[in-house]
Amino acid sequence: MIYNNNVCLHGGAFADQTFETEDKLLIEVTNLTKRYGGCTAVDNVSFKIRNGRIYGLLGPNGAGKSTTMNIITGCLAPTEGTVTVNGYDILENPLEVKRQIGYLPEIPPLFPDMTPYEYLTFVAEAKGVDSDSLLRQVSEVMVLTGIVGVRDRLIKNLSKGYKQRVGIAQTMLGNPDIVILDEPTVGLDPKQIIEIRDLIRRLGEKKTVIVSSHILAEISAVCDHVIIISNGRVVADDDISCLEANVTPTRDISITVKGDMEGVREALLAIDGVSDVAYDSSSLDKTPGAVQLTVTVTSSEDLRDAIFFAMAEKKYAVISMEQKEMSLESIFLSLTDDTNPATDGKKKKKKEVR
Amino acid sequence: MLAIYKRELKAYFHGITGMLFIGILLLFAGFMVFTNNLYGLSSSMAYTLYTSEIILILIVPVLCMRSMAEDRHNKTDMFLLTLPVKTSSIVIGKYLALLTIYAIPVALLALYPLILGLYGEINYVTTYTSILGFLLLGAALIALCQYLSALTESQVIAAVIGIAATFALFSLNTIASFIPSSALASFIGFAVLGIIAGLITYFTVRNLYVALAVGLIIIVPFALIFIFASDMLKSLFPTVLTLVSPFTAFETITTGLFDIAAIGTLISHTVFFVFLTNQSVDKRRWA
Repeated sequence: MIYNNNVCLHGGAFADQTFETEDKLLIEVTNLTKRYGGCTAVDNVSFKIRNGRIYGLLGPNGAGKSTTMNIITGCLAPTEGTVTVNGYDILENPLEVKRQIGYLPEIPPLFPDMTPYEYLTFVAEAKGVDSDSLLRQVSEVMVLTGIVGVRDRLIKNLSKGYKQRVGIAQTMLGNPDIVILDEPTVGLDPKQIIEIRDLIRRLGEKKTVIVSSHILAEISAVCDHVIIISNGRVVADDDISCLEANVTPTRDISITVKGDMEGVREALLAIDGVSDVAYDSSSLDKTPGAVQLTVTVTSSEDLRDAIFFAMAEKKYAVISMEQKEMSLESIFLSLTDDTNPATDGKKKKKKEVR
Repeated sequence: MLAIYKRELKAYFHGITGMLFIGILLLFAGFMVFTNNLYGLSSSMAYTLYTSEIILILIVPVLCMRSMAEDRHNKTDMFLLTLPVKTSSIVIGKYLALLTIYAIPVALLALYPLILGLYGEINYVTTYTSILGFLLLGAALIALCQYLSALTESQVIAAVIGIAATFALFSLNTIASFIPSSALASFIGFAVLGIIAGLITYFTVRNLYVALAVGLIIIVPFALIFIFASDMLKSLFPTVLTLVSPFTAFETITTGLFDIAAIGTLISHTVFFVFLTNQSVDKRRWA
């Protein structure tokens, strides 16, 4: 796989982009609402995007993420609310806004009868890149995304992974301040996924990136700040670390101990701050004579010391002890589970002539 | 706009569509030239073009079918809207690409009078006026078929409806002659036109009240005229009908008159449908 790690975003065609070090409000979405007939796809959504961070847009299917991104990039017009990008309103100055955003929709918008080179040249021209830097920018994005080898193959003959990369490549043309990627790693093999995540991180050094995904591992790996949308509403808008702290301050401990179930349980329950001890059926540890338990903790103190000494006192050998991280998945599930749907959730499709 | 224009033009020649269109038009027109001018020894290429217009019914819708429908099908239409180009630039860029493909065989046809001139007396003014009329006829039909392509995701449907619509316009003269010239017939004709206009408006703007308003604006004045001054309506409808069709405007030009009204009609047909296409694309954003 041709992927040049040495091409630095600081030089070359992207050299003239100055990076603002102070916090700047790039995108401001205020009271955004989008209704399709009776169905509300986006319900009073507001958030701010500042520069220098990689944002993750999370949400279940049908939550309104793609609709929100389509409105920000100008493909759809909102029913209510405003979107301001770098001071320009999307409805009043659409061309200015579109110049500053590179957008990869969920289905990469490719023309099957063109080659990647022709396609990227077309997009660069359409974005207003002047002819002297055009060739340079096109070559650089091709190198960055590793598609130089297929540059003259028709897009309809490319594999899914390469098509995805061509889609990512076109977002970088024209040096936009903001890059919005909708499910950028879907369909890629594990190696390509790692490479694209790397690319997103490096993009995040120079530009502001918004990644929308279902893959929570990816969001936690790549993003600094997370916006969770469910049923058309924003349910969380925070840095990942703050989110984990706010949702559960306590962390359960999973423990594998050699000893009889009842005795161990009793000893654990005697510790101050332990509210419950339950058998962990999901553990894969098959050490003979050992029981796997989940200790529910109510205090925010680290009880691992207390547990260790309590077990040692009773001569129960602790085989393994682990403090459960509050994963993004559990935060996500807890936040998106108990919101009420704004409508019955079905989007009414326009009757199309088929 | 230039980027879109170049892309569309290249796309028509990457595949077979562009060459096929040019080839079939030249073949058909060339055959007509042979029959009328070379074999039939007529010096009027205007009449030849008049007989050639029928092929446009088939090839123009097929040329235009992918113009807007393919982008909708590939989901690249939304992508084009995220580029910093105006909607009108997208529509006009695509239109000009189609017009260029039509202009190539017409330009070649424009050389024929020079060849014919070597063998006889050619009235260059009327001949080139007719060629201009032929170009404008194609321009109007392309605008119509591009609009139909914008209404659907399916290229086939765009082509079929395009063929039907173009054929209807072609036959309008014949249809007009069937309609009796009484005032009542004219009124009914205008009422039907009002209903059709209302329907088209409804499908374009999806607003029942606007559509009703458009329909009534057409029907009510004619109802009043019918009630109070029905004489005015006599044989008005057939005349108006013939003005609606670009084919009749072209046929006026081929009779040898440099008819400004006819040329104006063709240009306004073109502008009208390009405008409707632009509205249709814009409207999808507000859906």
